[in-house]
Amino acid sequence: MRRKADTLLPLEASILLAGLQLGEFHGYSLARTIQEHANARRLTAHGTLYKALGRMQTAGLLTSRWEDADSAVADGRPRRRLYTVTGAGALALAAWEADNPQGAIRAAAASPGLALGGAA
Amino acid sequence: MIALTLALARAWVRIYTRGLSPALRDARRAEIACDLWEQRHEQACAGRRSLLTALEIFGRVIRGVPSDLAWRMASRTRGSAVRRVRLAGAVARRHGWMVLPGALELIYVTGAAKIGTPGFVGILEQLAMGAGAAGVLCGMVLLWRGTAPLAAAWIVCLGALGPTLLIARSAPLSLLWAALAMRSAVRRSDALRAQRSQVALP
Repeated sequence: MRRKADTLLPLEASILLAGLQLGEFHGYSLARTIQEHANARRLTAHGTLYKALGRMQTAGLLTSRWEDADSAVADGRPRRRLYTVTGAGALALAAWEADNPQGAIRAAAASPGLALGGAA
Repeated sequence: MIALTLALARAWVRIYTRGLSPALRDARRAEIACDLWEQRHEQACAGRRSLLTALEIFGRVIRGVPSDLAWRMASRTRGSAVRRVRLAGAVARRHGWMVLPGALELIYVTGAAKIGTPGFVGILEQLAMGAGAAGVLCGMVLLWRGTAPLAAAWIVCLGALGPTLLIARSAPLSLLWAALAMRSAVRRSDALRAQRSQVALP
């Protein structure tokens, strides 16, 4: 899907919105939060989600780090890659909300913890 | 059923990440493994039937296939472009000395031939010049690729020397360049031979 530079896809806006709500998040928690926000029946597909996360990280909208191996071992689970929304990501979401008031209203309704424009 | 679905998901990740750079490949595999674990763990804790979890995971894998393939293609393109630039840089560092005499030689060969100028040289000489220039180019490409360096050097030498000696009867640049090309090819052959003998040692 071709798009203009410096514009967000709806999925990217959802990721930023959910990411700002979660703080530091990993892929599955993000998929679950997006599903709850959108009231969707299905979780975002692996390929769609991780491709978008990689693209957004390259664009500087997200940063990521791998959690300590010790805490993962202590919990008996694989290591998580933890993402955080950057300042540029928050600004991009605010700009997207300004350009897409309908989408922003829907997103805000789905995520009452975040007010419109509160991402900046 | 859930074990089969998880195995399928892991196998698919292994397939579409095969051949990518180790950092990219391992990061994607680890991320998907973590996602699968989290989903299974959460839904097991919630007491959800494993069949439903398996179907949901299967759906996530299948729906993500186009994006996985697009991501792989983009990653491979980026990776191969980086590899090509690195390879070209290494070859330029190793055979950089060939660029100037090579370019001069080509100008000399093609300029001396004046291909297409009526009456300047005969048709046979023009053909010889054309074949010589083609030989020089082919030899340079082979040297650049690093395949059969000795043969490549001979092709370059014959391509450069033959027509110029035949027509101009004076080709000091050809001789200099041929000597340099042969020196590089011989060194490279020696290095390859040494590598092979090291591998052959127990």
